[in-house]
Amino acid sequence: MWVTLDRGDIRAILHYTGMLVLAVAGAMVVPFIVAVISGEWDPALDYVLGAGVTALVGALFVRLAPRGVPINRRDALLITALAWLAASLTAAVPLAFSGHFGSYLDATFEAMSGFTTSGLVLVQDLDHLANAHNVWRHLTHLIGGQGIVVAALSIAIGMRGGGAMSLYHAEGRDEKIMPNVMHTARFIWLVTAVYVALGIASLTAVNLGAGMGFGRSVLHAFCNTAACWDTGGFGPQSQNSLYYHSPWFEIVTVMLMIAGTMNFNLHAHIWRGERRELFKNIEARTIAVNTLILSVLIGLGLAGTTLYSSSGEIIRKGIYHLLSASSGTGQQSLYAAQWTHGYGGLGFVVILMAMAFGGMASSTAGGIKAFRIGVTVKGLMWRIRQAIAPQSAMVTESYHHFSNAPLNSEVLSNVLLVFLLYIVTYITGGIIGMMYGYPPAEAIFESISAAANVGLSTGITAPTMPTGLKIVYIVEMWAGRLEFMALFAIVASVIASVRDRRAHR
Amino acid sequence: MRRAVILCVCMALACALPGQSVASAATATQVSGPELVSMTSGLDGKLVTFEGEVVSEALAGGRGNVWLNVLSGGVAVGVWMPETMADQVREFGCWSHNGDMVRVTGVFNEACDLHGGDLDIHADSMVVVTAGEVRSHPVRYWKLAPGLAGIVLAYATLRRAWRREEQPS
Repeated sequence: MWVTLDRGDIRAILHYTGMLVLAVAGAMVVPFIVAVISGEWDPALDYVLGAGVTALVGALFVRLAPRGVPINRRDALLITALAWLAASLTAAVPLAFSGHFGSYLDATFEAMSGFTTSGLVLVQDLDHLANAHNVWRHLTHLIGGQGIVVAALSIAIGMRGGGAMSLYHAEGRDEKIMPNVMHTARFIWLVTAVYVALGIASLTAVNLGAGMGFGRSVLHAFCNTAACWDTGGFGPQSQNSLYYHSPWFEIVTVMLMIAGTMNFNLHAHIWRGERRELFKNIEARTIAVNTLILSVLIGLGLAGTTLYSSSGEIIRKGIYHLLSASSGTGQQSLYAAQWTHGYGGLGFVVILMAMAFGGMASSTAGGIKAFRIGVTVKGLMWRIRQAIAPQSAMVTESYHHFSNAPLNSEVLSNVLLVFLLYIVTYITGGIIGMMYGYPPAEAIFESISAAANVGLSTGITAPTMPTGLKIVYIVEMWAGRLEFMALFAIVASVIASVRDRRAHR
Repeated sequence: MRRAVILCVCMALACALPGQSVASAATATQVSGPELVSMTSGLDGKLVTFEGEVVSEALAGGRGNVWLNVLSGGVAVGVWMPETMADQVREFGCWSHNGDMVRVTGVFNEACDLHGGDLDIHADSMVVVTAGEVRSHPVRYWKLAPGLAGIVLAYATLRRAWRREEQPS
């Protein structure tokens, strides 16, 4: 049965969506301060305008229902999906006024790409972008990577209990790290604060060593730390990682990417000294095996090319991009054309696979996720063992994911459902890209990059690409980040409401 | 006789050295950034000349060399050169400034073996064509009014809503 939304439900949903939008307005204080410090007066006004518009939209939504209005699981799904869209639409306002975007849609694309930690860009003349706008772009990674809802919960938006937990789950997170969702949200931000501080310190040192001034060193360090820890992929310069021409920069950013792709619950276990979990956990094992196999394949692939056949090139162009792809980061030290000209067929396919598989669940990474890959492989082995066992035999299988759990048909079907949804989305986006006239390999690459929230690009994503394709990639990034259910809830609610209205006529 | 031979050798060397760079510049292909990164230019390992705006400070490149990133046709390419060559650059491009426009002649590498496979240019020579300048960013004050109005209205709306909640029904 489809349950339609009544007016009270809609008011409650918009109320909490408004709360989250207000949090985005509050976050605009950061780029405003950066603009003032940098003497960027016109960009400073972009943030006054942006904060004004965003705060007003948020306040108008909030007033629709009283504080603390209860919500159910369905409402939480709708709030989360709408919050990500509303956050992107409002965060785009200051970017649209920067003069570096062809249209408001392009700015919205950039904001959605930032919040979903995808890293695909439509910004123009990035090398002349104001510091304030660069900080805002990367701050969207930081907010979105931890989750907009988690961000709002951690500063206490006035929600407690089941509603908060439903919102937390609706954002694609499963792990209950702490007994209370508010404490979980704060733990996630604590881990983030530690890694961001370490990242900024290390990259500032690298930048200073390379000869950059102190102010720019810190600014670039913040941007790249946010981009790598949150597995985002934006960069403060158009060349992305290539701008620095530094193996040290690549070492530090790879470490941040690996830390960013780890499940927050795994971080919690390591912090508590339970390091054995790292070796037993199905996700950690899957990631390790995946990376090993794909590293060998990419090594073989690049060794067969004329351009990247030396060991140094295999590491810096092969392994770096493999980790960037599998962690869902999208940091890139290659030009778009190099993926299809010079990287070799095998290397290209390995990067496609790494992007599609993705990182760990409940991390900042996107993609199908290592947990689902691991469980699918275990499930396959289980079914094979069942098939060849004697008819009277009871074949069981289990996996370890913070605790031992039996592998059953329900777990397997849940995993396979999301697995299938990702594959369908990857292919659908690719087909749409082909329909716009792009070559199949590049269209599939770009679609996977968007839906898995990676951000590597073969060059399709550009300000000149068709408007329809921009919208398709926005939806792919949005759906991929929320792992589909929240978006399906919106579609189902709209269909049910329309059907209900027709029935009443 | 010996003096005459030494004089001839010296004259020949004096003519040959600058002549070599003149000859190099003459045979270098004039290209833009997008052509360089298209990977279909067929210029890998060849001498090229391209003009663009410097968009980075001189970044350490090892062994007395530095990197300058040069933006040409919307695409920035890393140029590796001796530190002394980069000294002539005074301004690099950012929000507040247009960087110096430079003309670079050097060997183009689609995947440089010396630099981990980076696409780069090893510069033989560089000249500053145009000095950088301050970029004009007029402040559009009209944004202040709707921005502040939005913030004030948002505050008033929330305050009214919360007061209404606090009133006993």
